[in-house]
Parts: sequence; structure tokens; C-alpha cells
Amino acid sequence: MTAEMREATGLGRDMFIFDNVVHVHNFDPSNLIDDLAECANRNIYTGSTKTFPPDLRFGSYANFARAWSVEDIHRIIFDESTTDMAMAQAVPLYDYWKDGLAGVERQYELMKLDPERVIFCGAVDPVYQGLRTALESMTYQVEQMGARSFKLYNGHSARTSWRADDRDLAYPLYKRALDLGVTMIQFHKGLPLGMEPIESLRPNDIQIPAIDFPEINFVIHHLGIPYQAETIDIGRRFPNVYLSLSSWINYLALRPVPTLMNLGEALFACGPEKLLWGSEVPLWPAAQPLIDLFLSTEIPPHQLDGYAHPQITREMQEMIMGRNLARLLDIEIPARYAK
Amino acid sequence: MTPDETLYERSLAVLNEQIRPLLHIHGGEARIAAVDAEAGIVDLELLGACACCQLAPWTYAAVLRTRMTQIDGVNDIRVQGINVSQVALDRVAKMFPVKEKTA
Repeated sequence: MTAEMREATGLGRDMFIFDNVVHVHNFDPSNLIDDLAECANRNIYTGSTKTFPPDLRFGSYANFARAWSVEDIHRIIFDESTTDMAMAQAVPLYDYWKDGLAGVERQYELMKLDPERVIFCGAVDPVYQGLRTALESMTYQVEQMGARSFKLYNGHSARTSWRADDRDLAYPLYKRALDLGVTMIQFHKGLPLGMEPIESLRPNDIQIPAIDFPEINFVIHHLGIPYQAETIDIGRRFPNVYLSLSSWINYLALRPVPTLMNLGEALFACGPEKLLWGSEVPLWPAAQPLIDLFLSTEIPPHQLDGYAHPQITREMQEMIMGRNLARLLDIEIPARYAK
Repeated sequence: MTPDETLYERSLAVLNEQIRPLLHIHGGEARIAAVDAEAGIVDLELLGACACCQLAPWTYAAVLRTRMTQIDGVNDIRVQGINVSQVALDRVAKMFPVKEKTA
């Protein structure tokens, strides 16, 4: 999108926008572990391509299956959209990709490129790395790289899944995070990328940790689809559980009916205070069309009437698009966005 | 209503006498968080068993809102965390028509 085009659309320029999740992905074939990983690569390509309009599509698998650069992501987010800040999230899927897919160092490089606007979210895996190495890595990522949060993936292929309420594997990660001053732990739930057992991605195992670690704010990504009902119910009942719009809101263009239903249910049950904007760039290869679409979205009359879903207000949009995440990370919103 | 009663006092009286006893039956609780006397808006907070109850939107629409909007000077009731469409609120309100405003 050119600057002129952005000027023409550019919804959200008068609103603080803090993107919860962007990745500096490495889909290059040289980063794949095996044939299952190739399936996962193509699954993500096909799945994400389906969600956006034809003029935004990657064009070919080769255009997608590459090591996206920090400059690519920075340009899409900050030059071509009205986004103010973004969280670069590492991905620790070592069962498919040699560097986990969005390697820790590559997300850190994006933060170094623009430290005023990018927040670094680290990642570890206690099974693939071993718990001791994972804990040491957490300390390094916070103390040497400035991680403000950790992204965890407990659902894996090949019998290596673990549970978020595992006292031996997961709880030490939470304790170390708190020792390091990190109070935001994020989980990929639902949305299997390959052959992970689907039940390993149910969000239900977040509940007990949310009680045992009230100082931690847990963020559930992807609405846990196909477990969206459980995810929304957990977000409703636990004050320290938040839901990221990552990847499921991207279906607004392709599948507006179920996506609006999920959005209406989340607003009704959890409230806008619990929702965090997340674009998933570069899986969505342009952030601004998604921002434009979301900010121009209204809950349809049949949902207002039949489901009591609330209409989206400007105040709700502001909370979702950035104010909630800024509050959770204790980040001051620029004065120009003051109410 | 006496001339000296404030909107807060009138709201608190209805809350204490008509609503909180119902909520206490099942471990629920409510308190007044704020009162905007000029706009006639009372903000409530649901606590105890009500705090994360799946039926809290119904409690809001059918109990809190219908009873407290009958208080003289109250135009609307809001509860933090309750997000219900206006059309749904209007439908529930029709089931419980507002009587003459009272203290």
C-alpha cells in the first residue's frame, strides 16, 4: 500500500494501535525439519491465503516460503499501516522448523531495529530444549534481550505435547517469569499447524495456572478454535485471562458470519477489556486492510436482537486496538491519543 | 423520598432492601461503584458469586436495571463487564414495565 492509498483509507490514524502479534517468520525450505514440516508450511500458506482478498495474496508458494526480513515486517506494520506499536513474538515450534519458525534472535532484531515501537516477546519449550535450558534461556532473553513476555506452544507433533497446568514442566516457567519481572505469558491454543493432536490445544489447562499465578496475565491466542466456546468462557471467568484476536479475526473478509458470531460472543461474555488486537503479519501480508475492515465492522442486527451481543463502540475499539495491551505492559500511550 | 435524600442514598436503599437480599441467597453481591446525579446514571459492581456468573447479564437486565430505573432520578444503570445490546435490554424491559418512579 502506498502512502497515498494509506491516506485514502488509513482508519485508526486517530487511535492508538498496538499490535499484539507480528512474527519475523522463516518459512524457507532450508528451515524445515522433515516432510511433516513441509506439510505444516503448506498448511499455513494455504490456510492464511484463504483468509484475505485476492489482491493481497502471496501469489505463489515461493513468495511465501521464504525468510521474511525484519525490514519486511517493519515496513508492513509501520510504513504501510497506522499501527503505532507491535509485539514481535518468537515461535518455539522446534518439531517442524529448525529455528522454531519465528526464531528468538530474529524477533529481537526487529526490536533492535525500532526499540521505541517494537516490544520483544521471547519463547521457550521445556520439552524440546529441556526444562533447565528453557529456564536459562528465559533469563537470557529477559536480561540480555529485553523480553517483556513469553509465547509458549504446548501442542506438538510426535508425542511431545505438554500441558499448561503441568506442575513439573510449566509451573517452573511461570515462576521464572515472575522472578524476572515478566507478568505476561501467552499460549497458542487451537489452530493446529500440522499433525498436533487437537486436544493438546484445548485452552482448558490455562484455568488452574490462572488461579495459581494471579500475578500473571495469560493471553490465549486464536480463540482456541475449534474450542472457542471453552476459550470465551475461560476469558469470561478468569480476571487474568485475555484473548488475542490473532488469526481468527483475519477471517472477517472470507467468513464474516462465524467470525462476527465469535466476536459478538467474546464481547458479550468477556467484554472489550479482555480482547487484544493482533494482525498476524506476515501471515496477513498487509496490516492496514485488516485494520480498516475491523474498524468498519458492526455487529449485525440479528446478533444484537437474537444474541444480545453489544454493538461495537469507538470506546470498545480503542480498548481492543491498543489500550488494553498498553495497560497490561504498563506502556504509556502517546499524548496525542489522550482522550 | 425526602427532599434531602441524594440519588446515591435512594439508590443504596433500593439496592440494600430489594436487590442484595436476592443476590445473597446464592452468594452474590453488588455495590454502587459510582453515581452521576446529573446524568442520572448509577454504576454498579457485581461481586461474589455474581462476579463471573454466566447469568449476570440476565441479573443486570431483569433485576438490577428494571428495579433501579424505577428510582426517581435514575435514567440508566451500568455494570462493569456487562455488555448487552440495547435491543435486548429493551425487550427485557418490556417484560418488566417500569412502574411509577419511587424511592
